[in-house]
Amino acid sequence: MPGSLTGGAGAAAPDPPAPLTLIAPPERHQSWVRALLLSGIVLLAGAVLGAAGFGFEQSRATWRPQVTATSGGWRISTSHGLRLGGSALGGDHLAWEAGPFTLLTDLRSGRSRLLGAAATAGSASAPSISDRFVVWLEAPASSAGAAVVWVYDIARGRRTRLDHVQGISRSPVVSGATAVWETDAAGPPQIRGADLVTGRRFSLGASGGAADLIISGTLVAWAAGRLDPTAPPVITVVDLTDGRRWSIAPYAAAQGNDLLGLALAGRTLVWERASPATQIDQILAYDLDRASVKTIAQAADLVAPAADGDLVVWAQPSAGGGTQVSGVRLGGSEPFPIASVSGGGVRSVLIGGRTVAWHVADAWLFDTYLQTARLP
Amino acid sequence: MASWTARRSPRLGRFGQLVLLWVLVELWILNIADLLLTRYSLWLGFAKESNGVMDYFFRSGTVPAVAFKIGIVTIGTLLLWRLRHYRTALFAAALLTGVFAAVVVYQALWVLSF
Repeated sequence: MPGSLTGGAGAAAPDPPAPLTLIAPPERHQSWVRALLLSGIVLLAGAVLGAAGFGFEQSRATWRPQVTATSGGWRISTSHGLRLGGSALGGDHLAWEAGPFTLLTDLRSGRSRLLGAAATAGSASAPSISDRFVVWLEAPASSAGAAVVWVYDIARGRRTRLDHVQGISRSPVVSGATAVWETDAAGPPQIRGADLVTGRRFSLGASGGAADLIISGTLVAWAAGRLDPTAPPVITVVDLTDGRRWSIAPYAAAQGNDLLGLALAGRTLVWERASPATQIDQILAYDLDRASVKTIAQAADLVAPAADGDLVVWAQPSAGGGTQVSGVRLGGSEPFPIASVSGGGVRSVLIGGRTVAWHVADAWLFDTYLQTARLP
Repeated sequence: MASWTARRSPRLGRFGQLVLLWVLVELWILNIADLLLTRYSLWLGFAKESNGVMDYFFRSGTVPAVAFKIGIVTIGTLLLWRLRHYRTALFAAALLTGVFAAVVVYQALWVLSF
């Protein structure tokens, strides 16, 4: 007979089994945590070093402008002795050049960002801006290297290289999503262009050495000198939609005049004619469709005009000794004052939408600033 | 080589090896962060790869660059882990991680500033 499975009264009860656990002993867990904390100190030390380096670099950044709010807009000036160069207005942004730097200032917040810096001893061209894109050219210090046309997409915050430009070149310009620039990479200087959205490239043919290159909507215009130094330059206008061309002489031959500034106000070409003989400058508007020309302003020492839509703005010395920034709508209204500038001379004026800006140069070489104002 | 290291480098205790393990994990993660930030900066167009070797791989394409960068650092961390019994391995890993952390934080702040 098999024995009973239970022990007898005298048998000793076995020890209960030790409870199983998956948790590591506390001291082992603590050593993992302490090791993690110690490695975190290494990480933190490196992070502090990186942040300090960034802060130090930023504190010494020479490109950072001084932007102060005024009653009508912003006053923007450079620091560290950087010379304020060309600028452009588009939408709510101002693109400008200071030494080798290309900058973009948001006119809603006053904040500026660096778009590009040409290589050591290199130079940047005056930028051009549309509602969405900024384009400019960065040239190396030596002529051996290739200049680069850069495009900055304002909405995406992205900068891309557009094209290498060999030899002497002119500032690229943009309107909407169409950019054009001059290049002499393969023979005589040519005007080339690209749609910055689709990437489609096109050529407008030989430029003859464009002195001014502008674009507004579908119209591209440039001025080129002629072999005869006494002959006036030729302004060529091309309509990108149908390829139609105009060739315009801004003044008659043998007058000794100078062409200062070129602008497109819709389908009207605007330029300034300076006459050293009479000391009287004129701003003229040529309607491309009606082939008619009219004088917008006439005075001594006019500042070259700028245009956007049907509005043309310019600056001229005022009776009080300062400078008057004025505008006129080509629809037929009378010229109206925009701002009076006292102290310093106005070098250039800009217009973009409802914002006007003017570049003032004081007596001191580097004491220059840009002032913006909103039109009522 | 091993015998020279054994003679010259003091031994690393178990706690030191734990620290080394964490430091190597951080190093590996920082390498990924560096790769992503560099790729993003290059895409933005505001940066240029100054490391000639990485520049070559980035020009070859994203996949070769990712494979090389992750591969080389993985091999490096495994080698350091193989030498985990020596204090020198911990010093080297800590130095590398500190430098990587500085570079990554600098890059991150730079990207954020744009």
